Amino acid sequence: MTLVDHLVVAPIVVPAIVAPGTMLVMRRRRMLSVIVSLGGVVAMLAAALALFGIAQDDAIRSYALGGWVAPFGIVLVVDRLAATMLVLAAVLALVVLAHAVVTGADRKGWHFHPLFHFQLLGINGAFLTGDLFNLFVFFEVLLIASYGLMLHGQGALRLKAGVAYVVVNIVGSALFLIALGLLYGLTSTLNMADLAVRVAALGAADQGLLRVAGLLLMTVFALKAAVVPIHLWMPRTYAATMPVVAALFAIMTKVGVYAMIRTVPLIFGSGAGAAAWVPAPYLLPAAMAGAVLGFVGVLVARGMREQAAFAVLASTGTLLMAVATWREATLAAALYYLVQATLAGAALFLVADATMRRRGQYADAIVPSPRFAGQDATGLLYLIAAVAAVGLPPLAGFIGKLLILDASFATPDWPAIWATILGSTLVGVIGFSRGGSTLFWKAAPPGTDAVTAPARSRVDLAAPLTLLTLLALLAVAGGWVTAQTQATARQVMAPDRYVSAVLGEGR
Amino acid sequence: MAVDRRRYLALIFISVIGLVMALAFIHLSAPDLALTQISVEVVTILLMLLALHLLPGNPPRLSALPRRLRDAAIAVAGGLGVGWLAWAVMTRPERAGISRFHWDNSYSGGGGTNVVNVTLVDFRAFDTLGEIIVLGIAGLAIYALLEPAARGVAGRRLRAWRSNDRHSPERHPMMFVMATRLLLPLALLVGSYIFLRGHNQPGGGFIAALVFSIAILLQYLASGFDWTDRRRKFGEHMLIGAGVLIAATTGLGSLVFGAPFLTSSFGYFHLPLIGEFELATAMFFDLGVACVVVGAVLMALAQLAQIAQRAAKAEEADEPS
Amino acid sequence: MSLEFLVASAIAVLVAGGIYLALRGRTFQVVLGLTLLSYAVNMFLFAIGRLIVDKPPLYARGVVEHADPLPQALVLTAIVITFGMTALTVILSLRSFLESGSDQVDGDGDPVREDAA
Repeated sequence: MTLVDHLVVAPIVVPAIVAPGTMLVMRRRRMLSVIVSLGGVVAMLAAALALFGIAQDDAIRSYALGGWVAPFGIVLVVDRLAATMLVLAAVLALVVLAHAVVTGADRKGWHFHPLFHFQLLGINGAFLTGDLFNLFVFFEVLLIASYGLMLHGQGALRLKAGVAYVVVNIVGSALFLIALGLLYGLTSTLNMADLAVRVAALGAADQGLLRVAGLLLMTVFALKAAVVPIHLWMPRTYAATMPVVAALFAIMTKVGVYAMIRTVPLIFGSGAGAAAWVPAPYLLPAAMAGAVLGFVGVLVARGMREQAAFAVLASTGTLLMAVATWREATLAAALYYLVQATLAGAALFLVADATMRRRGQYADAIVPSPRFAGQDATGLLYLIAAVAAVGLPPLAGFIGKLLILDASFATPDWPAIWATILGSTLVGVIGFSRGGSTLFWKAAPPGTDAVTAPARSRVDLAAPLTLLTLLALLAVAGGWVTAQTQATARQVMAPDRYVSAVLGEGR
Repeated sequence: MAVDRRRYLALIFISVIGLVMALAFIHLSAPDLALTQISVEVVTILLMLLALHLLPGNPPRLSALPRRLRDAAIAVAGGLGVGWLAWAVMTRPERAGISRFHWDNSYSGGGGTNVVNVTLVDFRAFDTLGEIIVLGIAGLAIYALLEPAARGVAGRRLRAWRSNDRHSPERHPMMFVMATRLLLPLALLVGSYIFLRGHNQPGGGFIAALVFSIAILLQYLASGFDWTDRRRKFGEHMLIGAGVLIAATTGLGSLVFGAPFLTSSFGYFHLPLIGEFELATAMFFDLGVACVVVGAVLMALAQLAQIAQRAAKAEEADEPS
Repeated sequence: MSLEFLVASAIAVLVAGGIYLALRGRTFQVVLGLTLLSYAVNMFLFAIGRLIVDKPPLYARGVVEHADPLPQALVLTAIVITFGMTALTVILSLRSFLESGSDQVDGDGDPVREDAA
């Protein structure tokens, strides 16, 4: 096997080496560990871009770990969807890590860099794996790394929110194991492609159990993606986290969405009997509720982080509305929206961080405050990020929503989808305008304490600016990106090609 | 106090449940699982004893009756649901699956007769890599949580803590100290034995690591934190980092030979006096696993033991005043 | 009473006990409940491999009947992962209590405090 073939493992091996590396060096030479950490993320980005380039030929590549062929060993599968998600994660990671280093957030507690890389390892592993139990293991890796990162910097409120976050996810893991057990008990295999084949071959007696297993699995992914009604953990947790960490978490909910997009057409597609398209009746109403609740949350939020968290909730809801119809055209629109929503959500959190650093004791509370240094710059960034998050022209959010509206026109539910998207966008616009004017426009009543904050250099504005530039590029290059997402959706909705790529021809 | 006694009783019950599960595993043909269950049980109960000792006592009535009924209804529904699912799957006829391959190729392809262990370190080594990373991260997060606990609000609360138990007059009972010191080399021997035999008989890196950790923890419990800490040369951070690196580089080694990541190889060597001896690269992977487990368990429990110690020290300092 | 029924009822009791304790809301109870729940799920995963008595999956030429090794490997991984999570939960709740003085895990108000106020 050539070096290029082995490139698949790079997104996993690089963090696996960099994380303990930074841990061992951290105590003695901090500068070295920072350089190693940044170098690791750059290497990861390079590998992800290379894989994306390799996947352009529409071939699905499978890599047998340990030399054991599928379905007996664990395989890593690179197709367009996996490559896209890897690039997205790497870009986000680089921007967030640079911001953390520049603002000194990594020094606020222990083990920031090792935890950061372990988190990336979990995310990349989840995107690459072709084995369902392996997906569980990497879900756990990314969850426990997120606990560590979430608690970074500590404080009583953060710890309390952390306990709730941990308990909710332990229940989710238990459900995942039960669903896995059921699927293995029915089919005696764990490999996703093999599951697709065997699920389609199940007899009538097994259909009830199959449906239960499918529903349980979808519930777990929905919990991960913060779908209504199991969404409450997300705003509470993200609002209590350090904004830099919350910016990285913007991709965590998308892992749940990815898992749904990966497993439903493949395993629970048309051939799956009673479990065919198993989340279908529930996902659309839940997604619509999520979009509405999210933007209402944006309106009533009391802090910038809370507002950003609800914006992420809303964008996940909008995204899932497009996914829920399980057609190629809407899936392509959803993928475009997924990329832009992740970047926009992260941008909102980073802008919140920049504002918090300048507002001293007012932190991120949405109340009028006396004038603070850098108010104009952060206000402008907030405006652009809000435009991106809510989906107004000229940024990518608008194009994303337009694509979703256009693609869903062909589906039977289009009146409901259109009404929800347009209505929630309106609420979101009102919410962000209210927030923005309170934070950056209104003058505080006389007699309020002046802002006491150390002078901050403009460097910490670079990270949100980078993300917003990327969003602008996404809009400008809309044609090319749309062609990419359409090719990806085409690949996803043709599971036979995946199965034959992983298991060999003739299955 | 009756309230605290109830807590210790609850922990005893939990450990009995775990023990019964281990016996069930032995009866139902899962010796590796039984060993793992028992050793994880010991460490978990130790952890809970240390940590929950510091929590406040329970008020007698925790919540109103309607709430309890609602909770009980949810619990019963959940239990019946999962139990029914288990029964439904267990009574289904078994279908030929991928484990047939694991059985057939365990010896010829993996070099070991303990199919479960070969699955863990060879067929599904990638899962094990993820699993030890989870444990390592847990250790790191626990360190980060406990390290600042002596300062600030938490430190004040710790110092204000008064234990409800009567302390034993002997701080370090002599019998306990001697017994644990004699046990340490024996435990290390047993742990090494379990490690080496894991590939072919029930055992393996994880269980061996837990045996090591428990032996060292007994030293903490018997002889006190300072005594043990002075004699311990290796740091837990080093162990966790080294363990993950060993596991990852073992996997990368196969890339040099053109094989995919985490491919293992093995060979049989003839040693004088001992006879035929098997050496597999999977053993290095198992070594990495053992290192991470020892590091993470020690990090969690040693830090926790220290926190109670710090509280007790602060309490002693206050007493004369 | 068949072996399968026995194991299934044991799983049911453990799950019920675990959920009830986890819903109590105070740290000690929640941790015990999650421990019981993890025992139950491990037993469930193990039972999926069908129950065979006294035939451990140790390879020897000519052995025909043996337990399914794969669920056992999965349960081992699950035990390790759950152990890590449990340890973190215990210490996190302890630290949260030390910081805030409240023992409630589920976000409801501390009943003792509210009575005293």
